[in-house]
Amino acid sequence: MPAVAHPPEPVAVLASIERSSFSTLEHAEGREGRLVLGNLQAAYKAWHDRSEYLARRRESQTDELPAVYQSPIVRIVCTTFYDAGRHQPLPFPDSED
Amino acid sequence: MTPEAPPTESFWTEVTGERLAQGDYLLDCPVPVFPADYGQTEGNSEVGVRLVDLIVVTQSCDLENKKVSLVAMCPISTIAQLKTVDEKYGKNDRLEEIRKGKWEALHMLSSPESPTNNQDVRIVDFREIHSLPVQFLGAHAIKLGKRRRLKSPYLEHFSQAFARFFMRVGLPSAIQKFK
Repeated sequence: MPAVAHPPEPVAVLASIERSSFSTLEHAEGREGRLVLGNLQAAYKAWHDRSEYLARRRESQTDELPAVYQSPIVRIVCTTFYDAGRHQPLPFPDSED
Repeated sequence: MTPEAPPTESFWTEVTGERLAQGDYLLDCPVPVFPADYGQTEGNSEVGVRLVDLIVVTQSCDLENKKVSLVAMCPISTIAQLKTVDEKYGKNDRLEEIRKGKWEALHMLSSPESPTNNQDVRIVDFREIHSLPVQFLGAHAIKLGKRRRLKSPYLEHFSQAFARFFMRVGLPSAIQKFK
């Protein structure tokens, strides 16, 4: 995958959804304003929402932003989930305690 | 204490719906497996998702009172599934040790379909804990339709075994064995 200098465009994010079999994990906000997104649909929405909020902020000339967007987004990681098959059990316990 | 008489009743009851409880047997739960370098670079990352059969270990009261956002679960497997990884799981002496509770990490439950068939038992492995969001699992439970749930007192026995695994204390010095 090529390195992305700027947050990906929504079109690029949506293109990845086709490869995702699971899109129901919740997204979480990391530190330093980094959004680690497990749901590609949420990734698109978050990117879209943030753009809208920024545009509204410019229009209203106010610094009010929801907390989640107040820190600059340093990094967006768009995650594609793929089917990795069945989980493998652990081997038999080796020794007694 | 493990009873010696053959089982005459099932350890399990059957339920449906999104309300989860300790002892719920959930088939094919998707569990993400994050690579070591996940999230370290900007752009796209791939995360594998594996399907695993899990049994709920989170206390029922915590689930009912909505005190948790994540449900803790452990893998539950058949002997056939475990034998593909380690042949020891197929040995009668090892299975008997598990049945008697000798291995704290493993807990044996009777077959949901045929309680008198000990070759169809289920074995829970407490060494692995997977956590998934409550609402996600509730939706998954609905999709599964009917599911099995451990009933009392087998549920309490199971819960006690889980606690016993985590309350182990390693001692730096042991008393010499009696021979």
